[in-house]
Amino acid sequence: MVRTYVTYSSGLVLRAIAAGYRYGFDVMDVTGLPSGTVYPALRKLERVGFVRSSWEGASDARQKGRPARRYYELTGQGSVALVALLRRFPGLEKAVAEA
Amino acid sequence: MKGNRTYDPLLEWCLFWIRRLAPLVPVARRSDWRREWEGELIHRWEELDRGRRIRPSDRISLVLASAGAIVDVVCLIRQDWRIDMLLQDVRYAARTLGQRPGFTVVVLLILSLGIGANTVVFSVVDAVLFSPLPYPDPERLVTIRDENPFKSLFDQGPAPGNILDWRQRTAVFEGIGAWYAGEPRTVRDDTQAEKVSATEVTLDFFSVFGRGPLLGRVFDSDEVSRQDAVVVLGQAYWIRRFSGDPSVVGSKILIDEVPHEVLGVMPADFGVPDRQMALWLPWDFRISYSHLPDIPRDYRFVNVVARMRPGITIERAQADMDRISASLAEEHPVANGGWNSRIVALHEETVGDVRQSLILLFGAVGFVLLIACTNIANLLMARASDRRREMALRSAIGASRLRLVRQLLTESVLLSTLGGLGGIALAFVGFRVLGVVAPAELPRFDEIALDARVLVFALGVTAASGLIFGSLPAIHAIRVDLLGCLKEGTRGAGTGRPRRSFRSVLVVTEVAAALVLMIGAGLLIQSFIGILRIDPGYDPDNVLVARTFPDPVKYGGAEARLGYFDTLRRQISALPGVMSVGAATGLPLNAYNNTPTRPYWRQGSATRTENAAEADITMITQGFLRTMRIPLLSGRDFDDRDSLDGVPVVIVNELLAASLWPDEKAVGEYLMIDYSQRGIYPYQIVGVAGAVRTVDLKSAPQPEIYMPHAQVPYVTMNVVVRTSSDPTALAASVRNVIATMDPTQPVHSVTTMESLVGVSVAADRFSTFLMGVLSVLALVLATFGVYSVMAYTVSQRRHEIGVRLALGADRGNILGMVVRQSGALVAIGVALGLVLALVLTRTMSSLLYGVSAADPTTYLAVSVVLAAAAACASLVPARRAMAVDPINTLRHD
Repeated sequence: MVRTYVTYSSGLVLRAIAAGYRYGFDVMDVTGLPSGTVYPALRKLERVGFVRSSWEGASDARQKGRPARRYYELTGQGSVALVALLRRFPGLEKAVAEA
Repeated sequence: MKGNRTYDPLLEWCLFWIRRLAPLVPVARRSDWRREWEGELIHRWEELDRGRRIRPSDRISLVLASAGAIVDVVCLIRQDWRIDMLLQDVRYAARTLGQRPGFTVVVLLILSLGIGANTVVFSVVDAVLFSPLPYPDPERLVTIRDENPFKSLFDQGPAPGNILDWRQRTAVFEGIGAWYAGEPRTVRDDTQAEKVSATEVTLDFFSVFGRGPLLGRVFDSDEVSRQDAVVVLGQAYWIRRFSGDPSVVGSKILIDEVPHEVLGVMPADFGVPDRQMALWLPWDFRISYSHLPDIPRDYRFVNVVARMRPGITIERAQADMDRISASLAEEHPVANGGWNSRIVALHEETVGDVRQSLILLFGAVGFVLLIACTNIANLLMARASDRRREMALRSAIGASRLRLVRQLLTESVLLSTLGGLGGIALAFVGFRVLGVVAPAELPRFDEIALDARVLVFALGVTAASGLIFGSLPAIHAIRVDLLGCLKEGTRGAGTGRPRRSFRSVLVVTEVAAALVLMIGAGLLIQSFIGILRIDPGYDPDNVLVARTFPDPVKYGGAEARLGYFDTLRRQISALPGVMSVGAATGLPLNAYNNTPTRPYWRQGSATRTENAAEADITMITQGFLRTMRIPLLSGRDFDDRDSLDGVPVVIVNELLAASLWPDEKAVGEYLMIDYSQRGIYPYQIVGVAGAVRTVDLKSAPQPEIYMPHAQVPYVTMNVVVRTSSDPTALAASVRNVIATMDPTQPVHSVTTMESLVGVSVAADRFSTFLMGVLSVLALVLATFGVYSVMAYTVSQRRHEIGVRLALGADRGNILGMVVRQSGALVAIGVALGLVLALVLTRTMSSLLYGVSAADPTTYLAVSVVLAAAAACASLVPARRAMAVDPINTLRHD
């Protein structure tokens, strides 16, 4: 069920993650939203169970010579919510290009 | 993670802020949060840095991106603040406070006293100073007073003749109302007669104030212009005398034996001249003075209130009155030469005299609250130190610092809420005490109430104090190394230098604040004692005062009046215990005086009436000077020679005699007085009396003239009776004599000269009393503050003291160490307080009599008292320190 408190910007973040943009700064780049919007949205989406996060493996990160990344992905509940959100905000579909 | 790599300074700066923000994130998420933000920022920087030069816009976007971490933290904290957690905090706080009942009770007591005292004083300040007067557009209401700087006469009521001219010549006022609270009237029915207060008012009086009646109506223009026998009642009197019966309106009541129709009842909060006023009667100058050739312009006694037209300022109205005063002085030079009319806002006129005292009290009570909050902050910080291990443990198992701060703040808010409730309860008690100790003469006294405004104030003070004393320990909780504390154990926890220094600052603050308050109270007490020691020029002990108002119609002739008072004097003289009896139109310090102020000059001098000095004229009977013990310095008292057909004679006071006959004897000389309607003629001086302080004890005596009542037989007199013992014991007998002589002429009031003196110093006594109470409270709180800090310091330094003792330190050295430490704090506090007092007490100079605001004796005495109290307070913990057993202490370590 889509909860009424999911705003357009949170929906946009959810759509970006569904499109394959998996970490915070990536979502910021594709949506054009500032970090002060994207990160609180990610916390909220994670709290309500629409996304889940996991850490990049340490060896992968070491290979790439950078700190490990926190990746976000859609949950089943999040997919259902996104369908309802797309009905509510039809513009969301095209607002984010597929990664 | 960053590891040991170094980055560009800008990135380092961003990472620094992420690290500073991290402690605010709940512990369970903190590590991931910091890792995520640091990782993203570093990654983004490396992306930008890869193969090209970083542009300024890239740098700005990175800083902006990192700023999002602040919003992120706020959202995480908000997620953490749920109502159930709040309730959990409250429950935990209540349990924690319940575990330390002694601490909780002390804190609540201190806080309740602080908030209660503030609430009570605010109720007075709010009612008297802040609340607008209870009339529509009160800012447009002004009073008009006359002044003559050449004769040093100020704040005089205008004269009726001039008021009529103002009405015709100025357009700045919507209306000008006038009133005079004259003699009480006799209201009689078949069963009883009583003297009640009455005020005569002109046509515009009620309309200027803009207040309508509660019942019925007020006077119309015809009723006023004919001075009809109609009356408007005050609500308090209507309820007392007529049990609030509405059918009284339209009926007739007997006032001074004349039936008057009751037109209406004014509401209880209409307080002109006061809320106890029983009767308002119509007054028309033309009818009142129809027996005179002209309406008087030099009898200045009327009270005037005017309503300025919308948009007119006081300055504009004053300019208009200046113009009119100048033209009236030109047209009537004898009566108006040198006189101006001054416009004062009605609110200022009403409360002006007490404004400074009340602001002083409000400041003082604010100081008490500051001391109370400082004290509590000190106690809470001591307690927070004790609880550092608990806080460290909670932090270790996942509580964020913010969560811990919130817990501490919840406890503070719970304490302040309970303290606020206690304060409001104490305020109700204090309010009752206030009703007893506050002088009824305090302006707007009957408007003082514990109403919604006062309760809102109390709640505000409660919230503010909770934040003040709660935030300091909470801030410290953020700044200490909790995990370090956990490793250290409890020993020595919280005794770090910054924490001790901060608590020392709190003690110094409260000592300084207490000293300022005590010096203020000390100065007021000195001043009050000085006032009580003033020689008023008469002996007020054992003198009974009875105010009599024989009906001027029934006692219309001089013979009847003289006969009445002669008989009265004889009958009262015959009472056992009576030493002497006299009567006068006016008494020192009495509000009911009827003493005209008239020009006088030495016979034969060229002084014209308009330039002559003026003096109060008091009509006295034989025996008055003796009864009041006003010394007769030369000549004789009035006697039987001074009759209606005798030579007009006067007794003058020594000031008048010295001013006109500085090197000669005044007795036997002649004084010209512009008093009698028969014209200006000489009065022979038969005696010179000592000077008396008539207005109040603080005001210097003025020239004064006494005329024999036998030659000027006034009908309204104050009878004074000197008794051999307690005068109040004779009150009933005197009342009985007066009532028996003529049952239709009841006595209005019976009091004593001592109580009149008491009333005249009531305002000084009130502020001195309140300042005294507040300063004692401040002393107790400050002493307790010193004690609590020293006791805590000793308990925290037990180990150190034990080591010192084990290494051979003398117990006397330990005592000296503790006393020195507290002595240093108190000395700094006293020094700071002395400087503050020197600055702040300057504002109270005008409230002091006979003592300077920088009186060194007071400063020294108060400093010694405070230092001695603080020394006593530190002795208890010092003795405890001396009793430390080094073996035991070291064994337990």
